[in-house]
Amino acid sequence: MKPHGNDKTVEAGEPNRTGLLARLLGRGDGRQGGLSLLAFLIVVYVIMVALRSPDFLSLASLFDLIRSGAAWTVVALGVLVVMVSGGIDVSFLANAILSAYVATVITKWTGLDSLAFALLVAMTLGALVGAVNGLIISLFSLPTLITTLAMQGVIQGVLMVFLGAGPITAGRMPVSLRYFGTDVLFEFPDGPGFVGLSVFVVPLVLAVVSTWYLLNRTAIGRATYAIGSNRLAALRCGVNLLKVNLVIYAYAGALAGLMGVMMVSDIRLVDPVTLVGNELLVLAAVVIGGAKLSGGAGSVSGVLLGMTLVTLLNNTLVTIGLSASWNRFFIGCALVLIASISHYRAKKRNLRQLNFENI
Amino acid sequence: MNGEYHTTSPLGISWRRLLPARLDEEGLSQSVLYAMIAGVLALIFLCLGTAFFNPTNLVSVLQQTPEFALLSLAMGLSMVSGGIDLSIIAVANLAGIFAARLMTSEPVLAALGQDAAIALACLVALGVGAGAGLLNGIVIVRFGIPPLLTTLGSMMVFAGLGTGLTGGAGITGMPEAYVNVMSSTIFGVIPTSFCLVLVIFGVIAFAVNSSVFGKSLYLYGENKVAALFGGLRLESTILVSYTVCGVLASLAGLIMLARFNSMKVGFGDTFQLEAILVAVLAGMDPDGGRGRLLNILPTVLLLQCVENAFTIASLSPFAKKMIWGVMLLLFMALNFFFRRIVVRHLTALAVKRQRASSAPPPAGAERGPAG
Repeated sequence: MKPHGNDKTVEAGEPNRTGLLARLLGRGDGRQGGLSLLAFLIVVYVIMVALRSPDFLSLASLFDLIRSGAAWTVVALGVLVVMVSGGIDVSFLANAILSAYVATVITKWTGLDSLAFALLVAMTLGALVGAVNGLIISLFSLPTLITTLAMQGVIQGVLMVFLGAGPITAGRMPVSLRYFGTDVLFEFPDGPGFVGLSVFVVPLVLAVVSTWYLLNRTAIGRATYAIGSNRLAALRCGVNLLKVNLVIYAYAGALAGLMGVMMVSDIRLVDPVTLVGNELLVLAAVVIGGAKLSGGAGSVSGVLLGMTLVTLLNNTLVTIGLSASWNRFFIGCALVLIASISHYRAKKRNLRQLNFENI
Repeated sequence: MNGEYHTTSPLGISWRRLLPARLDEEGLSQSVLYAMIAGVLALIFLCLGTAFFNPTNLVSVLQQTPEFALLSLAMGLSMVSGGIDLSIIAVANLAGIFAARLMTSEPVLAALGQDAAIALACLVALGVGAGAGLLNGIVIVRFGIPPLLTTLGSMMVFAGLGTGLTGGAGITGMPEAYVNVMSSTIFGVIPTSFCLVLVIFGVIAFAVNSSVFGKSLYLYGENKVAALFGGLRLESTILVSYTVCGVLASLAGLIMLARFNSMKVGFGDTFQLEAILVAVLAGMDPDGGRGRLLNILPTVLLLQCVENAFTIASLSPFAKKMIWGVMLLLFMALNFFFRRIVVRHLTALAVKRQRASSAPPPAGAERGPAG
């Protein structure tokens, strides 16, 4: 069963368009149309890069892509869940670095130098902070953007002021975290040496599966889509807003904690002032993947595609002869383009059906 | 309506008398705002005394205010129509970068002379701001993308453009004349840029409060479907409002350029949270249709005073950010309770009136419509 976003009524009288562009833009469900356009864009871009440097089409660059995109995809999945409910979270990276920092310190302090313990601490703390978000938002029915923006400041302030955090360098980091960043799951022979698939793929797959399960196979997940689609109708159907908000924001927070540990293991430095400020890239990837800020739409596959495009742009813009400082520009353009197409289609369709939701 | 309530109070004196005469959300949050300003200033006075309240420091507060005030005004203006403009900082940076490039480029200076080059640079910067705002507006009204998403995307586009053009480096070394104009004072005390801000506030607050443009902006923010059904095509109004946001942001960029004598993508990023904080504190409703733009000016001054006091108390930027965040959350939560009080008050009033009208009327009294 696939969620059908804001399509409240069945399409009627939609002209049956053919042709490549029309097919790419999608007939019927705007969300699916957006995804095939996105896949098309990715393929075109990969071909462009491959023409410039034929080496790009190799196992090594695929593994590199997965490794550099894994942590961001994990946190993007949490953002997706929040966005499906019609909210937006911009505190997740502050949450991630707070959780990772506290987990590192506690792991060192207790001497329990195991990855599982660090992950447990980070994800629990992340979930708690996320639950605070959800609690504040539903108790006072506040706008989510402003609340989480304020929470971002609060979390960072707690980390810097109350915990007095300073950077923890690789030498002082727990051994298990250092290994987590460099371990490979298995290796393939590639030319002279070996290329390894980073162990990051394990949390990535787990996060993908659990998010898909949460959104599509649980009552909370369906309630999330319902709230995002039509909040009032969902409330009248007896959805408990506080419960749903607590679960989804805590889930997003837990994924942020996981992402934080992955990030610090990857860059082998726990620096409290990194990460924060890159929220936009993640939000962009989720929206490019077909999620709507107004809620009710978005899918795990969309996030994977969106994150692929964003990671590709981040990693390979240099290859096609542009400096890396242009990547924000292109990601922003992709975001506005794809959002324009899907919202314009929704607007036209809604007007035809006398639904004045987004005039 | 309020008088009726007060005269029929059973106890003669009720605590509700302490509430403002116009008991609605706006009046309430406005009086809370003024109470808060008085309270915070008193607190600062108690804690810092003359370290804060001396003429030099007060003038420096005025000097630091202009760009903050303009950005907050832009944020508040976008909130009137139920939107939000997250791209203002990026627009300010982009406009500043264009202006800085023009002012420091040798060929332009050689061809036009310094004064003309500065004027051209300022015009180009304002044009960039207007263009960027217009772009936001077009995307919002044409494609029906929510303003939050549009400006999130355009923020990346504008910041990305700025980073791409400069390679992420700062541009420094503005002409002396430009820096001097912006840092000059009137009567030797009040900074010129602050006077400029006062004028702009006056013009925009007047336009929004008492023109067709302003009324339709509020109507759009309150209920755009009703506006549409009322036969109003408000697309051009929204376009104008976002364009004005862009122009205000670019003006803030020009002022920042003069104050720091350099420009770079990422300058003034902290204003993002602070501008939203100011707008919400000043009583602008993020859902649109409510709030008075003139309230933004005292709020900005208040926050600048607090910021200044923090600097005197040498707090770290993270501590500041945390305090802003806590303030924002607290005030929004308080607003929630105020709204509840107001709703309960109005409901009680309505119930009372209904009871009064459904009771058997005295002979000869005119009976009002029930309900």
